[in-house]
Amino acid sequence: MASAGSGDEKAAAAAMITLISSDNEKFEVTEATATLSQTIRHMIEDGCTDGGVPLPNVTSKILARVIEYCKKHATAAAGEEGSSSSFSDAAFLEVDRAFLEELEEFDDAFLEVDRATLFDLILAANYLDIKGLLNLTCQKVADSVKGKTPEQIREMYNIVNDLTPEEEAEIRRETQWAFE
Amino acid sequence: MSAAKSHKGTLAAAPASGGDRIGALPDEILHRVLSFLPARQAVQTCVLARRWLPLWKHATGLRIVGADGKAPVPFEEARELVDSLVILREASPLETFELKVAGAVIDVRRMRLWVRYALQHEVQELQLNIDGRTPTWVWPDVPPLASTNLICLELHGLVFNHEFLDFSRCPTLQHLKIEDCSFMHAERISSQSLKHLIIQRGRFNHSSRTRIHLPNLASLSLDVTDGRAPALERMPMLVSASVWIHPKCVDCCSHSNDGDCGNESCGGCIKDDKSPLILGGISQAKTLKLAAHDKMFIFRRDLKGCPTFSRLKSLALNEHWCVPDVRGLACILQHSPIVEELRLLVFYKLQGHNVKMIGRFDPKELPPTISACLKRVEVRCGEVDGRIVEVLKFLSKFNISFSFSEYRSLKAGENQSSTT
Repeated sequence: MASAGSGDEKAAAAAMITLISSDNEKFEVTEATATLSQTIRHMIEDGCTDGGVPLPNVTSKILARVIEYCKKHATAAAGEEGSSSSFSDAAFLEVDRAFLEELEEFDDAFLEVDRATLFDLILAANYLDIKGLLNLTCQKVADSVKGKTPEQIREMYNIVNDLTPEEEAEIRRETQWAFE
Repeated sequence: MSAAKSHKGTLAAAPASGGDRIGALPDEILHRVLSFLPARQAVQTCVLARRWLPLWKHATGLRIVGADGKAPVPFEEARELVDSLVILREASPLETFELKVAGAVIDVRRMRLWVRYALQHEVQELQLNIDGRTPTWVWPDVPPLASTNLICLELHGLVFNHEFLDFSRCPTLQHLKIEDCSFMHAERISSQSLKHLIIQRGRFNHSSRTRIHLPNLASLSLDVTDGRAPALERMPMLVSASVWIHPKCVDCCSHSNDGDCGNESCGGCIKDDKSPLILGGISQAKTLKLAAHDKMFIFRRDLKGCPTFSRLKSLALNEHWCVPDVRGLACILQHSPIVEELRLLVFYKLQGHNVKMIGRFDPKELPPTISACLKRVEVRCGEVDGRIVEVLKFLSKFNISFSFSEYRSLKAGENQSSTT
């Protein structure tokens, strides 16, 4: 799309923000990238980002990934204005789809991480209040248990069942309507 | 999200006891994870362990969908499930409510109660997908939605009443997607806040015209498969628009192909009104994709009072704008003073080989009748035949010549040899 490039250039010319991870690594990002985080957006609005934004709950490894996500989605948001998200005519659709598929492919590849990293990303997205990333990562966890029985889920995620067999039977009776 | 902030302090400490354990996640994140599961399965997690017992009651979303997350649920089954859910879950806010039901009989009044429940619980994203054997009517006594939280609304398989699509009581609504619905009785679609509208396979009234009043719209995708094309009021904030008018649309007249046959009793023509129905509304867009059927009736009528597309940078048109008659294309080009990119999709094949031709020209040699900003002209077509040659001849009058390459659509990277 023609306008995607110009949006990117505009973002590059804008102010830079320094983010500081828990292990003291510094990351320079554009304001457009940083403000995908509502937490940082509020800090910028309050004028307390001079000298960098310390993020004591996020390691450099996770912060690098979070920034990667924000960069891609900030660019996409700028480009989106120039392309409508859906169109029925097959030929036009092909052009739009390439744009959307690229973002989906990015998201899929982004989520190819081990479970510990996924959970760290969830916690970072929650702390930084990045709704898109929070929903993406939570959905990934939900998808991993979709269609599985409680027993399978316990095994998959090392959940220790601390209910007595009697208690579990009682709970199942009470929520019969959801188990049928 | 204010609840999330309170957990800031616990994050760094948690992973010590096994960072790959779902138990290390705070409750409000598990509430969100559960919101992505089909509701039935979300409830079933209550037997996992003691901690999980109350979690589903606070899930931030309710999805009444099949076990795979995609298939619809038979209405009777959904009724039992939703009635239990809304009584037994806690009164915590909902972000999403997704209902996907199918069946011969859909109880619309019951559904209306569920929607009210969702709206009362501050739902931000509402999806109603009805796959009934007969159309599901939104009865005339159903009032428009009212919510100060709703941002995103998706509707599928409904027949709207005259006022349901008046969103004046949803001041935060930004995204609206309507698929396979009938606007037969809808007098207007109006909202002051809406930014993005997608109408797919919209069926409209055969005698009266739905008015679309969305002054803050940024993107529009309008696909009219039946009835009369809606009348678009001015959209000054519009950035991109796609409009596709299908062959089954009834806007036509056997005596005139541009909307004014002079006969008082003509049902197709619009007398004493020269204002463009569609082009006037979208004349401020930067990107336009316009697909017409062979009659071109509505567009041709609009072109008689063609507005100036003063911000238009990228224009895509289908074959009926230039074959067999290039006047549509000529007119819109004349009224697009700063257009940079022109794409023509002419008898394009969904599958199989297509030919892509890139226009070659020296911007200095373009005639003053078209945009001096023109940078790229592209023609894509199934095959190069006499009809395409006419289009190329027309473009050659502007000193634009073509080289082309054959390629297979749908699969990128299979581009083949290029000749001139």
